[in-house]
Amino acid sequence: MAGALIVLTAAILAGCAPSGSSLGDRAAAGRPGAPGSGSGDSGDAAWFVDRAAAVGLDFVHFNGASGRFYYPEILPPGVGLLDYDNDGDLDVFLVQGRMLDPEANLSDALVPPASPRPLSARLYRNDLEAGDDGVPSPRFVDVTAASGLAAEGYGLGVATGDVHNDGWVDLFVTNFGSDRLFGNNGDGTFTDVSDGAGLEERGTFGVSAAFVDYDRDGWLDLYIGNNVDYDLDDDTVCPNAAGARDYCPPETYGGLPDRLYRNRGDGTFDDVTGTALRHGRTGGVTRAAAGRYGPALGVATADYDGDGWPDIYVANDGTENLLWINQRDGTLTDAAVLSGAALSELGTPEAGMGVDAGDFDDDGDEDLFLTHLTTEGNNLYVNDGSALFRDESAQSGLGSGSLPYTGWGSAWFDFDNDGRLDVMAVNGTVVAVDGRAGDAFPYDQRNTLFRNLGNRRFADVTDRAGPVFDLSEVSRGAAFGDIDNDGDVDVLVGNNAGPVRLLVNAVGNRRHWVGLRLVASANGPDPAPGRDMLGARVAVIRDGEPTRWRRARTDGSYASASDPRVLVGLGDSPAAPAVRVLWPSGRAEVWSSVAIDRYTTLTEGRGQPPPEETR
Amino acid sequence: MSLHRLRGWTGSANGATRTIGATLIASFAIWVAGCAGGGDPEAGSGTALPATLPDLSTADLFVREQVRSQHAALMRTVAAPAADAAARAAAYGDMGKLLMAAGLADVAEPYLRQAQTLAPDDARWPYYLGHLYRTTGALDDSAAAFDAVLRIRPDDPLALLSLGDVHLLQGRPEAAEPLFRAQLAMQPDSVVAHVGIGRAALARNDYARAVEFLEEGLRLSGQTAVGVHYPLALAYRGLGRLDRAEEHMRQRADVAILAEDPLMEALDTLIESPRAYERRGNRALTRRDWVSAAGYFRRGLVLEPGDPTLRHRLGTVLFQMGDPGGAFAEFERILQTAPDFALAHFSLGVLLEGAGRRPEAIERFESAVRHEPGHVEARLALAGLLRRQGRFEEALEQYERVIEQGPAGDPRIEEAPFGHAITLVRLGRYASARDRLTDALAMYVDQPFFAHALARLLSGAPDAGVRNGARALALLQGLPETTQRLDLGESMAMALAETGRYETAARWQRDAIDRAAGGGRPDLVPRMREKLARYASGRPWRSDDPVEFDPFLERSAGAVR
Repeated sequence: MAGALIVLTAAILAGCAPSGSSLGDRAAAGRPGAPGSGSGDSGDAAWFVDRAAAVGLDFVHFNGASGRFYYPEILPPGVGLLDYDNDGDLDVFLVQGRMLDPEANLSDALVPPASPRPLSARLYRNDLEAGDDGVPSPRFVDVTAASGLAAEGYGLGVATGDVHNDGWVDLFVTNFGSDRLFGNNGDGTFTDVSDGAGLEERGTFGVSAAFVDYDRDGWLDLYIGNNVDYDLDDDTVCPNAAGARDYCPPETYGGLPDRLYRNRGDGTFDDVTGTALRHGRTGGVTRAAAGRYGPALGVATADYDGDGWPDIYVANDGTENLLWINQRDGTLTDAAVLSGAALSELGTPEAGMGVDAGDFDDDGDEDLFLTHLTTEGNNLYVNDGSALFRDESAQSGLGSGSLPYTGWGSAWFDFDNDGRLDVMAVNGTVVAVDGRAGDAFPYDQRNTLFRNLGNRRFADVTDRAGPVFDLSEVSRGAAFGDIDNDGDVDVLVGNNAGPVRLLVNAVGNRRHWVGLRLVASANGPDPAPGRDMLGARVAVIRDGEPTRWRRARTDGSYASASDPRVLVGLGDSPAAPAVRVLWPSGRAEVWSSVAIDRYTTLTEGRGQPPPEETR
Repeated sequence: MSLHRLRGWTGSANGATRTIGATLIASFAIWVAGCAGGGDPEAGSGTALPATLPDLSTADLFVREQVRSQHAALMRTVAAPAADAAARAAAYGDMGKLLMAAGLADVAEPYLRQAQTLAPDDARWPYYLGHLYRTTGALDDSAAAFDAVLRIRPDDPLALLSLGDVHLLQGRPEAAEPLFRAQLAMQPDSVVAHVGIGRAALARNDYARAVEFLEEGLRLSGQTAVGVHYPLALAYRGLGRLDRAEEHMRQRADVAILAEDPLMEALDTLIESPRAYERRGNRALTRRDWVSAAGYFRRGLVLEPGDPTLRHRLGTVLFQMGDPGGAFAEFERILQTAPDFALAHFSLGVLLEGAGRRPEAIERFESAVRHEPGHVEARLALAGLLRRQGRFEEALEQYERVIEQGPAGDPRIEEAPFGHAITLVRLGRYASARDRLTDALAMYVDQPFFAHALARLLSGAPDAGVRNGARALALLQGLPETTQRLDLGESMAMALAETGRYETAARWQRDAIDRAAGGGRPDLVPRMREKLARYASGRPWRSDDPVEFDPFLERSAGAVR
C-alpha cells in the first residue's frame, strides 16, 4: 500500500510541477557518460547506488530514544573508514547507541533494535574481491568479536590515526560518557589503551575528534571537540511552538571545553589544553565569554594560513566557531572572529555541525564548508590564503540551496573526477517534522549533492544523483573514501535509528584520476608501511590545467573518519601529472610523473627536492 | 518549489521504518488542495482542505483546542451560504496564520494559498506566504510571494525590504539593491534600507560603499543597530583598515536589524498557551521589559496555575521590579505544589541571604542541591555562604564537589577553585591554596584573576615556604593590559616589596593610592597607606586576611582603570 502511494504521489507531484606500489592497481573501465561531460549526461544511470546491504553492511543504528528526549539521542552516529589490517582496502567502523535511561528496557525504545546482536560498535572487514566482470567489489564481514573491539558506550563518533607510529591505524571513539582509544595490535585485534593514556577519564561528551601533529614532532596529537554539559538527570522540557516536547537546543545546557592532547610518543598524552590553546588575543579582538567553549560538533585540521603548520577549525553549535591558528611555538591562538569564519554574514552564531576544508577554487588554500540548521543555510567561507575568509554562501548557491535542510556530515570531494571539488551534505532535522506526531522518530530529510561549476558557483544535482538521494532519513555521520579502489570516492552514511548506507560511486572513474597514499618511511622490520601522514598537502600539476591542491586527512565531516588517501580527478586528460608534496614536517618533495588511474604510495624522503630548492 | 519538494517521502526501508502511509494520505490531500487552489476556489475550499488537519497529538492541549476551534470556525464560514469570498478568504487566512504561528508551516501553506486565491487583492496573504516560504528555505517561492504583494501594493515598505532580504539570501545583490533604494526614496532615514544596501555592496566586494551605507545606518539608528557592527567590521577589513575592523568586531552583537512589522507581530500573539506566554515573557525579559514579562507570565499562569517554571519566572521578574516580597511569595507557592523544584529552593536561598537570614539561606541551598545534585549555582552559593559563615571545612567539601562534578575548564565553575583557595587561606593552609590556584591557572589560562590572586598570595602569605616574590612579579607582568586596575598596582607593590625593592614598591603604592582616591574608592586608602608605611620603612607586607588575595572583591567593587 505504501509503495503504491509513493509511486502515485510521485507521479502526481510531477504532474503538478509548474514547469608506486599499487593498491587498486587497475585502470578504470570505459568512460562514457561522465556527469557534466556533455556526452551521455542524460541522468539515465544513477551516480550513486546504495549497496550496504548487498555487500554485508547490515548495521542498523539504535539511538535508545524512549520519549524522554535525552539530548545525546539526536546526535549520532558517526562512521569510520580505515584500513585496519593494512590489506589495501577500506574497512568500516560504526558506533552504536544503547538505552540511556537506566530504568528503561529495550522494549521501551521508540525504534527497537533491528537485530538481537549486542549493542556495541561494529567493525566490518572489507574483503575486496574481483567480480565476474573483473570489477572490484567490496564484501564486508563483521569481525567485531575477533578484533577485540569492545566499544559499548553510547557512541557518537570516531577518529582515526596512527598514534604509535607503528604503521597500524588506531581508533578513537567519542562517547556520551568517557571517550576510548583503541590501539591497533597489528594482528587484526585492538586493545583499549584509554586507561593510563592521559586522556580525560571523567564523563565527557566528545563528538568530533581529529588527529593532528600540531607541534610537528612526528607524533599525532589529538583534538577533541566536546559538546554540552549534559546530565541525564536534567529534565528541562523544551516544547515547540505547538507545545509538543522536543529535543532542547544546546544553549539549554552550555558548552563543554574542548581538549588538546599532546602525544608524548610513548602511548600516552599530556593534556595541554590550558597551556596550548589561547583565546581571544589575536588582533585585540576579545571573544564573547560564551564563545570560549562552544558546543563543538565538527573539527577540521588544515594549514589555513599557509605557513606550513597545521591549524584547527572547530564548528560550534549555536556559538562562534573557533579557528586555532598555530603559533609555531607549541601554542595555538583563536582567530576565528576577525578571520570572518566564526559567524554568519550578519554576525550571527549558527549551528555548525559538519565542516570540511578543501581548495574548491584551485587557488592553493583551504576553503571551508559548514553545515547548519534548517533556515540558516550552509556556509562557504572562501580563504584569501592568509586565513581571512569571505562568506560566499549566498553567491555560490550553497547557502540558499541548503536552507530547507539541517546538515551534518559533509565533505569536499570530486565525485565526478572532473578535477573540481564538489560537496555533499547528509541531512536530518533536530526538531520533529511538523504534523507527524505518530512517527517514531520524525527527523528525516534527504541528503544533498552540489556540483562545482568552476565559476565559484555550485549547482544542486541531488535530483540526478540516484534513488538513494530520494530517501528521507535521519542522517548524521558521513565518511568519504574509495571503498572499492576503483578510482572514485564513495560515501558511507550513518543514519540515526536507521540503517547504514554505502553510496557506491558509479560515475567518477569514467574519467581519469590519480590516487596517492602519503606515508612516512617505515621503521624497523615491521611489515607495515609507515603511517599515513595526515596533514600532508599535495599539488597535482599538469601543463595547461589548474594545479589541484589536496591534503591527506581523516578528519572533517561530522563525527566521522574518512579515507586518508588522496584521490584527484583528472578529467579527460590522460597525461601523467607531476606531484609535489608538502609533508607535515615542512619538507617539500616532487615526483615528476605519477601513474594515472591507479593508486601510488609516496613515501617521505623518496621524492626529489623541488627545483627551487636544488638551485 | 512546493513545500512537498522539501520532503523525501520515500521513507526508509528498514530500521526506523516510518508510518508513512497515513502521512502520505494527508500529504496527498494537501496537494490536492494546493493544486485546486489554482482553479475553482470553491472546489478547493469546500472539500480537500478541511481534511488536512495535522497530527497534533503531541501538541499541548491548549494549542490543540485552539486549532480545532479555529478549524470549526472555518467550517462554519465555508458552509454559510451568505459568506462571500472575502469572508471565506479571511477564514482560510486566519486558519493559516494560526497554523503558521504554531510552527506548522507545511500545513499552513494551503490555507494561506486558498485565502490568496479567494481574495487576490488582499496583500496580507502573499505577505504571510512570503515569510512562510522564507522560514522553510523555499526562497524562489518566497520571492514570488513578496513580488505578488508588490503587484498589489507597489510601495509596500515591508514587502520591499523582505524581498530585498530574500534576494540577498539568493546571492542576488544586484536584484536586492533597487528594492532597498526604492524604500530609501520613500523613507530617507530608513535604517533597514541603508543596511540592506550596505550588505548588497559587501556581497559585491564593494567595501567602500558598504562602509558608507552601514555607517549611515548605524548613525541613523542612534548607534542602537548593533547588529551592523559585524558586517561593518568585515567591510573595513576588506579596505585593509584593521583597526576599524577590530573596533567594530568588539562591538558586535547578535541583534537582527528589522523594521517594525505589525502583521508578523500579530502572528506572534496568536497562540494562547502557557508555553507561548512563557516564550513571550522570556523575550520581554531579554528586553528588560519587566512589566510586560510579568504580564505574560501571569497570563500563562491563568491557564496553568501549577506550572512551576512559569511561576518561577514571575518571581524572578518581581524581584527585578524591586518586589522581593512578591518574589518570595511566588517561590514559596511553587514549593506547595512542587516541593522538589530545586530552582525555587535556590531562589529562596538567594533572597534569604540578601535579607541577612543566612542560616535559612543555607537550608534552602542545601535543599536545592539535594533535589538537584548537579545544580552548580546552588552548590557554589552554598559553598560561599558556608565560607562566609566560618564553616570552612563544609565549604571546602562543597567546592570540591563542584570541581569534581564540573567539566575541567568550564568557565561557569571557575569560582569553585577560587573559593576553594580562599577557604584554604582562611584555614591557614597557604601551600594548598597556592597549589589550587596554580592548577586553576593552568586550566583557565585566559582568566587573569587566577594569576593575580596567586601573585598576591606569593607576595604576602605568612608562610615563608609559600612566598616567592620573583614568581609573583613574573605573573603580574604577564597579565594583559586590559586587567590594569588599581589593585594590580598595589599587587605590583606587594611583589616588589617581597623581593626587597622597597623604594619601587612605595612608588607603585603611592600611584595606586592616587588612583583609588581619584577613582571613587577613598574607602580603600587608609589600608593602602598602612602598606605604604611598611614599604617606606623597608618591610614587606604580610597578611592572613583572605581579602588581600581576592581580586574578586576588588572587581565586584568596581574596577578603576
